[in-house]
Amino acid sequence: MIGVSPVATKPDIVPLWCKKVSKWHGNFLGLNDVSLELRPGITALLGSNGSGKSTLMNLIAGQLYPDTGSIRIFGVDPWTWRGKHLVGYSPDLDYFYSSWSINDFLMRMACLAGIESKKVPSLVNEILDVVGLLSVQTTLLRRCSLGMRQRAKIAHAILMDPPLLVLDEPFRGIDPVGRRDLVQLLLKLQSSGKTILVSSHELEEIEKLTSQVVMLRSGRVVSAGPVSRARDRLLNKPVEIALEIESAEQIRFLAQTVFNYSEVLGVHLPEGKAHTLMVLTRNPEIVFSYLVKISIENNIPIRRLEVVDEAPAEVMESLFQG
Amino acid sequence: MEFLKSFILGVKSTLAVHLFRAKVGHSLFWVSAGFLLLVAAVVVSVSFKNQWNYKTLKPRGQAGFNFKNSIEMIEAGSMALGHNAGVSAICSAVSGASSGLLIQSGLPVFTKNVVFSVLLGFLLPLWCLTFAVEGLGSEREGKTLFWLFSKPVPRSSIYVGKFLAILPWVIIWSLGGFFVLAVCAGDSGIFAFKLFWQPIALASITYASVFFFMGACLPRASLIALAYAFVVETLLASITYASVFFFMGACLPRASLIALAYAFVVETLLGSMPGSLKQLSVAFYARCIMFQKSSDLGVVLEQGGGYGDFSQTMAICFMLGIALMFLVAGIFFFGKIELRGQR
Repeated sequence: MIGVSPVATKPDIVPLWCKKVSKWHGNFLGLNDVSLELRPGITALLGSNGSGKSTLMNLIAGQLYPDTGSIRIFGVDPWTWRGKHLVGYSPDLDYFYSSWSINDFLMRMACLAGIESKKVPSLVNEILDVVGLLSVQTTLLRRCSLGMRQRAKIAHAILMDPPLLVLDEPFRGIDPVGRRDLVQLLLKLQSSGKTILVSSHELEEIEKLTSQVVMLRSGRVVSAGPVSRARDRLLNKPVEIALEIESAEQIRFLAQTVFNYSEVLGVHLPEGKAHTLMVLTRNPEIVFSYLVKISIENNIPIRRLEVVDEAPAEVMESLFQG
Repeated sequence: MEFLKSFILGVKSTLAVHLFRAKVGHSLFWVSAGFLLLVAAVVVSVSFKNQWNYKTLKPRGQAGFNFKNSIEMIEAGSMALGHNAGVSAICSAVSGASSGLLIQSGLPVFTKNVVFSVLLGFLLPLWCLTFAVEGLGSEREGKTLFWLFSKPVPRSSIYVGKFLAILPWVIIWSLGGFFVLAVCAGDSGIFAFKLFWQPIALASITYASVFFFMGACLPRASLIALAYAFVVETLLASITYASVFFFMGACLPRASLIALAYAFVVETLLGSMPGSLKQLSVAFYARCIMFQKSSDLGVVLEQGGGYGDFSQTMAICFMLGIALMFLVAGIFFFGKIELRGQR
């Protein structure tokens, strides 16, 4: 099952389990009472700057310790060395051992990760190939471009083949071709059963990756789940319902009838779609039932009835504005 | 058992990765090297004047005369009393023995003026912190500590592995520096080196533990180191204690204050104070061992310093105890470090 849930239940069997996690940075509450459960698949972590994304990711990766609450990765505390086996983290930092080459960096990190020394060179080559750094592996990290260092971080995250990947802004600084490759890589990792939490402001890429989002605002999870749920719960923004019927002649009658309901904010007929009616409402469930009732009473066969989902970009835009 | 395996793996890996990563080009290294050259130059100039003995020192209450003059007077007296064979023989014996003693007095002179004061009081702590503070301090300041913390090994193993990785550098630099000074001083220096290299090595290990702890667990490690090297030892020596503490309290964060308090109050001030206060400094125990070693040869280095109160074994135990205490404290505090504000 792919998805996220704000309610934590069984810490031992879920890839990521957070319960009432809060974290203070001095006098500033960086994360406030966050409860979250992540299941295999890709989940996007969205929020404006300072919303607590990096704090949450650092907590999940065991770099910070929660002031209250607890975090478990398959039941293991990520702060402990055992927990580090289970999470691969690509942080949003750009500090490296600058005198090392990309290959040196990964080889030494693999040694520290306890990978058998005989297997390290072949494993590192394999990972470098996966992230597209094989041909530049001898380049010193201080001479690498931002995009190359980003890939090196991602290579570091997947080095130990952990079940949970936490990627903080992985698309930052990567060129369009590299982004496409990274999207493909993440989708491939998802299909192999990994749980991936990825934060980004590159919403185009996020849309290609997943429709599951966790939204943070001022250190709180304001929504977790599909983008549509995020929109409903977060923004209190009207949604559009698309209604498609068999007979184009009855569309105006239907529009007039449904407009009389107080829950309906507006209706319009999209250009070039004679059989479709768009209904704007804040309460799609009730309007759904009205539409079904009208169609039965007036014998109007419905071909399609659905909420027109919004893209994460639009939701994010609304979120930031809000 | 699983923890132990992981601990050993962590120590081994950290040691292997970082043993040859010690930075010899950083600013503190050049400060250390500069002070070594400076002191070596002074030692060489003293050696050229052949002054590693008591010849040029003046006996108490005899203004204008030094020991050499006194012996010359005895010899002149012996010549003047040449008609009395017995008195002349006694005078010749006294002057001969005194001359012999003066020639052999290089050990206490070199030890008191170079090893006890300059080396143990300033150079050795500076050399040790050059590498020890950088051990994990550079990782913290360079924000690369994250990469170590993301690995599935206990933090204690990273701490121990890193400590073991810097230790050879500390010992080589400390003993190497001592050897350079000893060679510059000639036979007296080389004799002192042969006699005292063990306590110097032990003191450098203890200092390494203390400064490694500071670098790993206290913020602004370089500030501490530089403050120690320049402010404390060089400049503040001439300022009154009140102004020192006012300056420290006003300008420095709490952690730096603790480090400075240790380096300055414990090591420098207490180390030179009479009574049992000096027993709180690392250098005191190194001096105790040296005192005992030279006493075994019949040379009393410093009367009334209290260095005879501790046996060599006790002094060694104290130094190792201090090293171990800071190692354990470091492991404890290092295990609780959170990496904030990485971006």
